Amino acid sequence: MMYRVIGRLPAPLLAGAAILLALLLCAAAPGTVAPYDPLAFDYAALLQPPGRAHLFGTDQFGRDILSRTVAAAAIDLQIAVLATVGPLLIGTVVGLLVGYYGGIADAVFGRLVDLVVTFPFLVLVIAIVAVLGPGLGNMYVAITAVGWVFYARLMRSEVLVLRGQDYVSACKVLGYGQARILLRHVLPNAARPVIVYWMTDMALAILLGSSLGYLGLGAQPPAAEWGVLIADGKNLFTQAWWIAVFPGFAIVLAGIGFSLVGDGVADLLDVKR
Amino acid sequence: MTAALLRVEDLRVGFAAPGGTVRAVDGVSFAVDAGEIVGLVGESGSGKSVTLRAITRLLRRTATVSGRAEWRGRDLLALPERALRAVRGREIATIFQEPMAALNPVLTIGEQIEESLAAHGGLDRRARRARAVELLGLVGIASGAQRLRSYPHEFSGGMRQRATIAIALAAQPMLLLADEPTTALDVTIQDQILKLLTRLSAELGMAMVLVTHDLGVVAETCARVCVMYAGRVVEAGPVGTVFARPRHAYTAALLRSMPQGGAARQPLVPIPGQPPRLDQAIPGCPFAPRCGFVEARCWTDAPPFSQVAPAQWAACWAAERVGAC
Repeated sequence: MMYRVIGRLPAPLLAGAAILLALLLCAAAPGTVAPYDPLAFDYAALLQPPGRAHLFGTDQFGRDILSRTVAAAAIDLQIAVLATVGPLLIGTVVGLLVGYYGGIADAVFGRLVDLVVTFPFLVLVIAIVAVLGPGLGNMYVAITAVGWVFYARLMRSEVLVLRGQDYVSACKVLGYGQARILLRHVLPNAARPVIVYWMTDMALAILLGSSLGYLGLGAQPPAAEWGVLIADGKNLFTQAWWIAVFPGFAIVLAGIGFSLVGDGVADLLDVKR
Repeated sequence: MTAALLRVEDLRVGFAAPGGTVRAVDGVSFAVDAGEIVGLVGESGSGKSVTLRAITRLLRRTATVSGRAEWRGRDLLALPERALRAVRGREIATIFQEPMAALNPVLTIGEQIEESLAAHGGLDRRARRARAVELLGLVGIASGAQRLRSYPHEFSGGMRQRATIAIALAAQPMLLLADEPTTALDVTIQDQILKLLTRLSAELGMAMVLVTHDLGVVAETCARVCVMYAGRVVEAGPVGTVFARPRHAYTAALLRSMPQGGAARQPLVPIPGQPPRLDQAIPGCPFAPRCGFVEARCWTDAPPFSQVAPAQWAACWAAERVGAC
């Protein structure tokens, strides 16, 4: 039974889910994967290249890169989820209402979008974090404050198309209430691109979190975060490439995982498949 | 004479456009009695669909609507939103031209029928399921229990239209507004759906307003017909009389442009020209530029909508001459 259900799922979804599950395992139980304590210094093994004792090598304090990369999965997955859930929820609700009812709220929303997209996303987020102070919590606030606009814009454009559809008119002439029409008939039909965008946005959020970590605005050292790890390795890149490269691989892997799941979910949500 | 179920009086719908207001519906009046099937015919842009949508207040807020649409003594156009919702679906149901577009693609047929039942009925889950199967049977879809689990895209065009009819019938409405229900279907299916609608109307005692551009459809199904042109009703009466002896030059021209079943190999006479633009006021009769019976006063004075025969009305100065040919 279980096997048959899995067999019918799209292949990209399975591949992506496998990657994410592996990362989730790293995040939930780093001890089972990582051979060393990610924060333990080892002065007997400074800047070791990848080898048998240290699969991914060590940094200038003798910390095991594999252990640090694995330990960082927890923070990065947390970033992927926490930095996107807020924008997803706020954006979906705003986009749904603004798209369906239009009017003054829609006009105000349109100008707000103009205002936000005028600035590069990263610049705006950095500005907000700079005001609030560095740290993960403030980073979430900043990303949510800016990011919801993109979800709302996507949702709105879907809803604009849907509200003119005959089945929405049909709901009205059937005497259905507005909540029923919005939640049961408009939302499920508009949700697909938003969910797919959400999946890719999780990958982007990791990159963003890593960029901010790299700039020292996100996760603070000595906490292991992929962007922070890369930042740590940048000065030593010519002597010890492994310090920056392996966390970089981890970011790429997570990005591929989320993108594949996004593709798969898009396939799943397409009823006509 | 019984009191009409629906009485539309002097309905006007305008849309603001760059060149001025487009008068899509310009003083339409008609009535529908209980159990009666009334046809609303006209070419594209004659305002027939807009009329229908105005009655159930489906038009965008940009449309200005005036006049009355009296439903069992209450004016639908002045009803508060809440009361209107109680009428929609429960008393007046609507079906649309495109059956695919009228069904929600992410819900199964069963979910959509049962939702309609749940919104109006108050049946419990099992009773709803049973009733949904029953409704599918009523509209001619066999093995309904399995069909309930299908999605709209798994149905053929004809079956989709049957499904939308089943959804519309769920609340047992007294009036069904059908907006070109067969236009998107192929001919054999058209005929089946029309037969289904007439049968349902007779069996359930449900009145119907059938909007179509197809005179053949009207002849087959309706008791009375309103011919529309340029947003007005130009002629109304029993289908037999109107078709046998039209009193409006437009109706006559429309009938001559159609193949007649009896007379073989007669050349068809097309109506020259195009319908008038509706964004400027038309002083006389809107059909005058295309009319073969045109008189001087047709250009300056709008003909009154007056009784030309028992139960037959027409808005034509040349009604006598048209009727004589």
